[in-house]
Amino acid sequence: MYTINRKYILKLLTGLIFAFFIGISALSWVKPEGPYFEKLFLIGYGGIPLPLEIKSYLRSMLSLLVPQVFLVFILADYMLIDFTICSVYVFTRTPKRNRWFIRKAIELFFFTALFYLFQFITLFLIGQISGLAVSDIPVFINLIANEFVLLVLISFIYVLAVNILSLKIGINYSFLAVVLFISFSSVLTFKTNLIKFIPVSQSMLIWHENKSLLFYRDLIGDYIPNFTIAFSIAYALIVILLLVFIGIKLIDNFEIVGFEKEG
Amino acid sequence: MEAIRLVNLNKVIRKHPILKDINLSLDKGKIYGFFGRNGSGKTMLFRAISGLIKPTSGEVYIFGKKLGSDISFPESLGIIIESVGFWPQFTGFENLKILASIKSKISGEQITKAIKKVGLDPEDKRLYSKYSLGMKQRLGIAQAIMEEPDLIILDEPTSSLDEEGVQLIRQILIEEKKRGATILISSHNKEDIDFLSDEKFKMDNGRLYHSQDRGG
Repeated sequence: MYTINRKYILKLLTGLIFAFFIGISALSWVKPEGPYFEKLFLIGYGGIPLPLEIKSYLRSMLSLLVPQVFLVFILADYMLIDFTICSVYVFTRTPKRNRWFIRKAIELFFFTALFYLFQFITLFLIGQISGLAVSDIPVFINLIANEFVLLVLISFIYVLAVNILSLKIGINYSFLAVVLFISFSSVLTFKTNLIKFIPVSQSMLIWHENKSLLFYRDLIGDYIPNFTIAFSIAYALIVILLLVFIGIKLIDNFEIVGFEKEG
Repeated sequence: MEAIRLVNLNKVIRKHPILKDINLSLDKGKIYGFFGRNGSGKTMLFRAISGLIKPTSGEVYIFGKKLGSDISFPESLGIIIESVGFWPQFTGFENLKILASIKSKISGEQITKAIKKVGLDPEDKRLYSKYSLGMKQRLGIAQAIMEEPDLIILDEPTSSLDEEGVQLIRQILIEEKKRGATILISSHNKEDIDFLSDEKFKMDNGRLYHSQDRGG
């Protein structure tokens, strides 16, 4: 019983504007350094070069976080709207409220992945039009796949969190809470002894220790020793499972009082 | 047979008592009308009976089973509470099909039959978001009756309907009663309550009165 609302796909498409600006801005760095797609993607969505410097930090953090916050913003009301529409009709037909929650979570994951797919396709087209080439196909695929997985998983954490919170405290407060959390945790990345465990760090591909990234270290800066992509994926999966558990508990004990609204 | 029994039912929300010490016993196969001013507690009473809220104290029994321990909500229930809401991106038929898929008890033909019964066109390709208020209300009623539930709870089912729609819904409810369903209905329209109900109850400030108890 997936009830995906196509208007959200249109909303995701509006995010292409960020991909366009990120692509154009990254292009100006890539071209003098070597006209390769790998570099475009690493500069565009790979993260902020280490060691962190305030100037590059602000520029890169904005380009990385603004699309993420935008994604959280457009999906923040997804569960709550569905809940207000159908909670009475659905939850008087089945005691398995957790199924509803898991379906909604899967739909949100789909939207999150779609958002980055659109972003990456746009970036690829910008590179294509600008005459970039792939220097090493296996490396390119490895980088793109890792970057995509990390961005999708970490963004999904924020998207899921805002949706769970909105069931409890409403859309505005939950969005504010998640944005504050992202902002706060991004500032914490300056605290180097904690950097490996901060959510924002997990989506920074270039901070990870990875063989494919070695060729590009001159361009993308240092990495955090022993900070592997597998660690970040495990980190994200644990947090997602925790959020799903919290969401199911919340929805199981939820009292449906005056939520109904016209669809 | 007893369909519903409420024992010392109380509901307090944010220190505000919404339902106060309600005791009630309703037989199967009858229509019960509930009336009272806005905020008197009718809707909250319906929510408590349908398992959408948990009582602060007291017990709710539906066909002999205790809500909250034997069952989490009435096993065979059709309901409309306040505003009718469906997924705006689907047609009326698609909406009901999605809901029917939860129990997988009825076929597409039965959904079609329920939609026709309330005077809508099951072939209508318009999305729910394009429906008028009256059409939305009719679809809500189709949703409530399509699975032929034993218990039907309708909160203001005729509030957006024209006279013809009101008559149609009255006829449907009489048929549902003949089928053996127990029906609880609340309405601002006193005529609806008087015409349909075997027994009437008045809600006032969270308390329930049999209409014979207190000049309803």
